[in-house]
Amino acid sequence: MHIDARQIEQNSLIQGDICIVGAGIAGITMALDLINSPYKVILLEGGGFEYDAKVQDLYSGDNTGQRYFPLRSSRLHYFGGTSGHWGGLCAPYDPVDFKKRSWVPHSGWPIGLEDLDPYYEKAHQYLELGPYQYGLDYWRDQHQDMEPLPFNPEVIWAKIWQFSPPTRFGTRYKDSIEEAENIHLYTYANCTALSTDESGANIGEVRIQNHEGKSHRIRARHYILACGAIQNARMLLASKKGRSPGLGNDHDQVGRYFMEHMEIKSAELWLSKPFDTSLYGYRSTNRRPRAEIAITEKVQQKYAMLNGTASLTYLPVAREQKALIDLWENEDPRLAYDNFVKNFRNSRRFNDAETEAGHHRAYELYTRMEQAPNPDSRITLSDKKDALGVPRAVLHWKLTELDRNSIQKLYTIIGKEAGESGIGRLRLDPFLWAERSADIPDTMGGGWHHMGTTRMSEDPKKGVVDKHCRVHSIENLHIAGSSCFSTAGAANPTLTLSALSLRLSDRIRSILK
Amino acid sequence: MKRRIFTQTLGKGIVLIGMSDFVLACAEKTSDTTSWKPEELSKLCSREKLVSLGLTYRELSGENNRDTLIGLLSKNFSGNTEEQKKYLSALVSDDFRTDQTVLIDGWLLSRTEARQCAILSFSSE
Repeated sequence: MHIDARQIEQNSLIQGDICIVGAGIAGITMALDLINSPYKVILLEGGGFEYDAKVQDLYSGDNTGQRYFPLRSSRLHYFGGTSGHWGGLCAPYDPVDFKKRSWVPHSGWPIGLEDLDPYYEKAHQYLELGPYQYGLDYWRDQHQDMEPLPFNPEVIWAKIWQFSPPTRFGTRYKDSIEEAENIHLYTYANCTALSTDESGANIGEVRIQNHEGKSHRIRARHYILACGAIQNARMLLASKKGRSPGLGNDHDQVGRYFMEHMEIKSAELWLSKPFDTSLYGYRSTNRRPRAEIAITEKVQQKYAMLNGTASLTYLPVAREQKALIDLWENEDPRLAYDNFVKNFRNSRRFNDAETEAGHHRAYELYTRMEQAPNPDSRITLSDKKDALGVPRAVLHWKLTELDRNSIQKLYTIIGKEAGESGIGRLRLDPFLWAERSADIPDTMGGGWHHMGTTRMSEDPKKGVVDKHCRVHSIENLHIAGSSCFSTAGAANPTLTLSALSLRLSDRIRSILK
Repeated sequence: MKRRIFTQTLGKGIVLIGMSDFVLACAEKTSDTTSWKPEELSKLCSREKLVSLGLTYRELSGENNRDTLIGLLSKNFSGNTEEQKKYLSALVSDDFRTDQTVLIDGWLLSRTEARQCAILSFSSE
């Protein structure tokens, strides 16, 4: 069922069992999972079904740290959320991503891969992925040409990724949500504050507003904040009524540990003879799984480095591709996206001809690596307010020496292994060895992956939510999405945040029983 | 020309040597048949580029004497070029395995092949 919050009577009181704030991948996944449950689910979307500049502007904010994409265009603010711009690259997190690692400060989740496994499988359905299989042997059985480069498997392994079509949640699941009797989708329903009841231990109601001047109240038994890592933190920090400073922020944890994936061109791999690199190739035509070069857990531990991968792109193609951070400078997400896609397509127009000419001896290696959890990398509130009166977000993205050194170690290891195995030689990009190499270059981008701002920890002094994604100090408030991640992992976050959301909907169901 | 030497963070024997304004064009074939030619690297780089790498290595490593360099890479070959090639090839492989690598202009090379390049560079003087 769909209701436009602009069309209902001013100051309406809307009541239900579960209120999900945010209709992006996390919120819609939970709502889909709750269809046909005995519970009335109120799903709130700040925008409508299409792009609306006024609504998008609510995401504007400042950045005071490492160069980053404009906050306004790094997320989409309408039904379906940023799945509208999503690339579809998926992989589960590795076992090491969940572990406490002595060389990574603040690492360790209170849950492990085994807790997410059943939900990963289920998330595959919503994300329209293939079978929940990420072993190289499985895919080699399907595709005979998926042969890994002959690296030492004790050191380097081939991490498999799958591609979603990509699923655009806004269009793919609009009908399912609208037709579900127990799902009440409200569009133009921007959450502007959550307030606690008299006890302070529960959320009492949520206030929603829109640009047309309408405001309404939502009351539910349980509330799920699913607005993305920047907006989740912003909303908790801005909701000070009855609790100061900010909801769930008794220990000054909300907004801290903002994490991204470090994404940057980093090296060239020159092969000493032509290897079949089909396993590592990206095919826009059939989007079959591909692999990236990854470092084993044992070697990560030996060299005290973060988890990350290197992808291969045919060098002449890669040289046509600009840094993501340079392509995505526009405040309008549609124009930023167009610029990004245009560059990508232009770069690939040479691909076939060059490959046929037999010049496939050199590849660019592109880093995709977790950022170490860092309490000083954070979201705070600005003095400036948006059109609905909510303080804007300020991002201070901060990387550390461990982050930079881990990239250097990744390529030194790959280079050594390539030499020892007779694969070829590596040439590292100047930022890893030249003058001022201790700096993080301003071509460092992210993957538009916002994580960690309401991190999961069993200790309220070290995190915002517990292992069930419940805000520590508030009984009926849970958080869905990648803001709950304790570490960023090597893989893109979408599959994991979907799995975590499905785990949360199971949890809410069990509480409500 | 800006140059800088770093001690690498990964392993005990690695030295980083950088030249920020040096560009190496690769994939050219060389007809050089000298026994000091680094086999693997010469599949990727022209003789001219190998020489450039060798000059940089000499300047920044301090190993700037041809006879000393040859001494470091030699044993009794009895004039057998194939035997020498095999020996050097094994040395290169060992270097990668034992962290005896250097970074020259971003290229992660075996110390042995960097020394081979250095020896080659004397022949161009």
